[in-house]
Amino acid sequence: MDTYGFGRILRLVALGLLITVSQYAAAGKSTVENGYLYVPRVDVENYGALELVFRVVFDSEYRFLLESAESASETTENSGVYDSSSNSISLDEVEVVEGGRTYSVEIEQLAHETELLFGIVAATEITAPGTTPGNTQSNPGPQQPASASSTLFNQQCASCHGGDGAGTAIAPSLIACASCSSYSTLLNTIANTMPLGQPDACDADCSAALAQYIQTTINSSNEAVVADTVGFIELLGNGVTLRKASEQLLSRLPTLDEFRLVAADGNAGLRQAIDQMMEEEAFYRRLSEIFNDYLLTDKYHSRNGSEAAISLLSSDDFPSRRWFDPGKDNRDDNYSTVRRQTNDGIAREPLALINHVVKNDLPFTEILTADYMMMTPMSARSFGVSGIPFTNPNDANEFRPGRLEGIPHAGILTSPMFLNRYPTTSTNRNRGRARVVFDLFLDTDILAIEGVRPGNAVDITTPIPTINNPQCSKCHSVLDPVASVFQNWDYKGRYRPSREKKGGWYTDMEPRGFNGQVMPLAGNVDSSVRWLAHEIAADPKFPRAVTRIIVNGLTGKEPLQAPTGDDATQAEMDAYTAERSLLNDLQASFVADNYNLKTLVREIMMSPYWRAAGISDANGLPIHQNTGSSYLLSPEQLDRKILSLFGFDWRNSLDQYYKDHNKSWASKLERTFHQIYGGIDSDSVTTRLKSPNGLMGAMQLRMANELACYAVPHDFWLPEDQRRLFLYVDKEVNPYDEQGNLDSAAVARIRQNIRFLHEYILGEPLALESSEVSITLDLYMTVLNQGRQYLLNNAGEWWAVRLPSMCDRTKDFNGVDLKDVNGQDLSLQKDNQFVIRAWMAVVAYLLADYRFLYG
Amino acid sequence: MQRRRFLKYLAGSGLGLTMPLLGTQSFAAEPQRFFVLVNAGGGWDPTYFIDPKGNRARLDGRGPVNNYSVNAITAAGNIRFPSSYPTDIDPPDANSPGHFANFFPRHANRLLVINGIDTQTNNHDAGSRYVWSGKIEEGYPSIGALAAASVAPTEPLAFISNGGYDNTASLVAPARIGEGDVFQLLAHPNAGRPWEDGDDKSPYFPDPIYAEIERARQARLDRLINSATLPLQRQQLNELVMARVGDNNLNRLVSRLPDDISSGLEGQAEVAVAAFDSGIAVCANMHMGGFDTHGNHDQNHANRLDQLLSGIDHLWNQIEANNLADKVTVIVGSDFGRTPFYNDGRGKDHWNVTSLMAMGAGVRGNRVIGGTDDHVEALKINPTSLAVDPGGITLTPEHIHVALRQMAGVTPSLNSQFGISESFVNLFA
Repeated sequence: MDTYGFGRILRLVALGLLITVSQYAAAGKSTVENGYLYVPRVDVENYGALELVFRVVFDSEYRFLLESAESASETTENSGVYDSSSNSISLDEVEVVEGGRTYSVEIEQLAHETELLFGIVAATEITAPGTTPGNTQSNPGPQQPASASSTLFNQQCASCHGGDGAGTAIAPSLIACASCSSYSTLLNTIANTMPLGQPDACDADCSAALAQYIQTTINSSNEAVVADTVGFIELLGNGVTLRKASEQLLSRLPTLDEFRLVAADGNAGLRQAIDQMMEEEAFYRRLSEIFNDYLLTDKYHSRNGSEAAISLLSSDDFPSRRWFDPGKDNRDDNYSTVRRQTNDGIAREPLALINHVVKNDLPFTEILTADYMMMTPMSARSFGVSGIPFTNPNDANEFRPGRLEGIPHAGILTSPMFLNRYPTTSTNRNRGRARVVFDLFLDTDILAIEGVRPGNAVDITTPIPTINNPQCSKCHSVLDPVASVFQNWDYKGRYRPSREKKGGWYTDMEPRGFNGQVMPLAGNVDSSVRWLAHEIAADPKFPRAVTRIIVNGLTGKEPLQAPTGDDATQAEMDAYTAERSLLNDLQASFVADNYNLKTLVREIMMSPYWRAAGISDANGLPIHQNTGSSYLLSPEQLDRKILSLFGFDWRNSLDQYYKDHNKSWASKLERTFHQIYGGIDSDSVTTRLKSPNGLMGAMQLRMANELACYAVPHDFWLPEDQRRLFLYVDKEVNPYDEQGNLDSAAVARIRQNIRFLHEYILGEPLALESSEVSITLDLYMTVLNQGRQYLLNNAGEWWAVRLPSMCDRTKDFNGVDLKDVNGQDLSLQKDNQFVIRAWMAVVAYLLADYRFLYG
Repeated sequence: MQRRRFLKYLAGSGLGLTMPLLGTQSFAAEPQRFFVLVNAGGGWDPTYFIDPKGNRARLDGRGPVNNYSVNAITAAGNIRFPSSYPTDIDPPDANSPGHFANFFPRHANRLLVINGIDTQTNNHDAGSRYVWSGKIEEGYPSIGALAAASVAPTEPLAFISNGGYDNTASLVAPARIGEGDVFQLLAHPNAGRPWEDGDDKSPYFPDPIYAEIERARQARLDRLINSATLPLQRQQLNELVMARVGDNNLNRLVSRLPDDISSGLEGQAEVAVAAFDSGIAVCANMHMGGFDTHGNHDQNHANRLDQLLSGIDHLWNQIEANNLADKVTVIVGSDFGRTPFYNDGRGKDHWNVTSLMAMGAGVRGNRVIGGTDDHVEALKINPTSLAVDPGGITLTPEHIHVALRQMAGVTPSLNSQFGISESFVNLFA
């Protein structure tokens, strides 16, 4: 103990809380309250009678951090005995104020770089309701009656999780908790990690009893809540679900084979179809978007600078990072392309790793534990790595695993892109990185821990405020061990082992660790991030964090947060319990299937929340305020949907399409309207807009009008067997015959095509005689009739019969002049009967619809 | 589809319960009060300009607060500022409107400086949230969103956001502005060539026919709302309706935009003022980053402050050119402050005490409220006299926002829904 000694502590400013617990001083009884262990008096050789205050570290291990040692009054009774040979303190009576139980406790100093830290050696309960003095707290056995389990819960769990298990400021709710998905998961969690930092205090029988109690008592009503809640949900049919899945995952319509599969095998067929979809490349494009919304490493994509990623690589470490540049005077036409491809190979490395792991059915934990990184033929040259067996050395999209010599890779965590996206400074000391790690991979918002700070947020008077000031250490004791883990990676994301640096890592900071566990130095000194990656991979919060990201990607919103505060309604609590319980089941499936992400995606899509079409009873409305998976499609998704439906994307007039249709960045949703329509650049704009504003509403209308103008004449211009929109009519089909009478056969064909358009564009399967089809037919007829009158009023005028010039088809996609194709005029400019424009009105009507704009 | 239709949707959807902004007065006229919230992202250093300390050595041995000379501190009216920059940096161009020696003499009479605001945090997210919403907890809307929701929630650009804290708590949808020339396209969604006049706009559909299409679209949304049983879906449909309520008003904005919109903060100012002038916006967030100067603080901060103050100067020019000086309130703030000493990299780290600048409508200028001691700890003020008073209160963003909300006319129901517990201090008037 004298390494740091009480003398140092004596110099610390006494904490205010000493006053609040002084009522126990005379009796000499120690107390645990408000996260502190207060010891009125212990005699220590050379220091005399001392009054000690320890901070109880609950977040990881059950430890006691000595915060203060002041001279105690000689009149105060001794609270225990300090043994200098073992640096341990035996405390006669320690009352846990919350719960009113009293223990005799022996604590012993632990080896620590900077702290006076104690761990529990033994603890025996000496008074507790319903128990007799001397009754130990362990070995209750799994078959104990409920009252015994309840007592055990109060002893072991209640001080952190609350007597009802609903959570406290220092520990989460156990209702539908992350580890509560199954008895075995919960048992393992308790046996291996609980009580935090002192798992030996609860042996196998104790763990089993507590797991059973938490499952059967605290979570006893979960199943009923789930059943009641889900019972209100009306599900989408299998066919509609299939379309929704294919649109969301692949931005395409389902194939005929997929429809057949679902028709034949129901839910099993649906599962199979979704599995097959996840084999397609388009799925991985979407997956990258979903994860980039969190990682934001696309900041370094070439859209944001031709060498945005390349420039992050140190030229010392990667002297060939600009291998593609032969010098300003020797660059050929390919220079810009290869430069962009190289940059994007580097920029997309973390997202490519995610895709690689999922594509190959590897455990998703490998996104953190991978001892390699992903490289393209181009980026590998920048990294100076050779020998990777690429299938096509010219394919900029072929990512394969590669390793950097001497680098202890840890998946995304050591990716130069991740480390640069979340940089650090000499004063931040990797805390920013640690916060992101907690947020993204452990679903833990560190900032939520701090709450409202009662005093100054910047303490420059306490020697080490992040350790010694409880207002700071509350958060930093969790954050800083992880921040220290990153000590071998510098502010530029370069691997620079701290032990090789002058002065090494900071000594006035928590040592490397996670969840209260100090990192074993042996074997990990230079590869501590790798150690952290494996710790996170084993943590039950990791699958929960992944689920959060995937749920957001598939529903446009994150899972519900546990309701807090006294004003939380029963409906809000039930909604949370039901959703959380279901997600726990899905997480369990994900983990059980060796962390296969496809399983998680598929099961979320099969869940009633994703397939919700409606609520069957008004009584279910309060608990289903957030149920459903429709969301405003992102500009990227809308862009792809347009391409899928029409065969072209939204640019300018199709007559001009040949000029730039091979260029990236020419689509209006990718360029002009990308940010306006809520897109992100992963740099300064990092959150998507989920609700349309006035500009977005106007853009939707413009898009609908423009696309109708382009798509309808184009479709009529195409040969019949290539049409996408007009399968039942052509531009000559007019509801009126030459005498001006309604042609019922023609009207029937028009109605049939309208029904088809509802299904094709909106995914809305309707009966032929449905009111919606009739309403759309009315619009068609109204426009056509007005158009006929317009033509009559302007009879003989050339401009009356011709299409708006932007809607013309006078050049094909290759720029061929359609007015003269081998002497034939194949162009389409005229609309003599106003039929084309009537169909344009119908399509413009449908393209502005909710069902088109939301996925 | 304007007011009547909108109200019908709200009545039918229950959305009115979460949109307590629908006093009929809100729809009776275009908004007459506007707000610009200028965010210096990253945490600025008030001691560099509006709470100047100079290079006097600290008694605790941590070196000076600033590197410019104490003797350089001067005043324009009651506004104190350093007239020059540290000698070892490249200062801004002497003619720059953002140069301290130009900016403060020009604007001092309208400028209110509030120093010694304790943000109680040194975290960017929490600081930004606290400074712009008045609450450090999550989920509270920006004052801009509250103002917009209280005055004109249905205007298409009620709350323009160029970045910074733009949480709206779903009261209004923040609108992000892209390139300025797209307004023509969006103001005339049925025009193939919106920049032309009259028939030359080349409509996709003749006007009467387009009106039929629009009617059909709106009727379809009505039907979907009525048939939706999922509350979330119903809410989304209502949002879609609201997004299209003001679609015919964008052309008013287009007619007021400059031919060539500037880049950076200046461009943000031009769009904001044009949107105010056309009555389709209530509040605009202007944003520039780069103030998180952990390294080479003096040079980097000088550059950023020059850009920031130049942008504000340009904003004010726009406001005056459009005769809006008595209608627009400008608030300038940042996440928090920076340490009153330098780190080893000649940078400054995060510090919880910060300042705020305000000018324009409702702001009595040529005043400095509050202050900090030599070590930039917040000094307390008397809540009535506003003078520094050791027995007074420490200003926090909560005090600022209680006063701002009153100035912005935030409705009682919104005030209640997003309550701030501090009492009113008459900071601005």
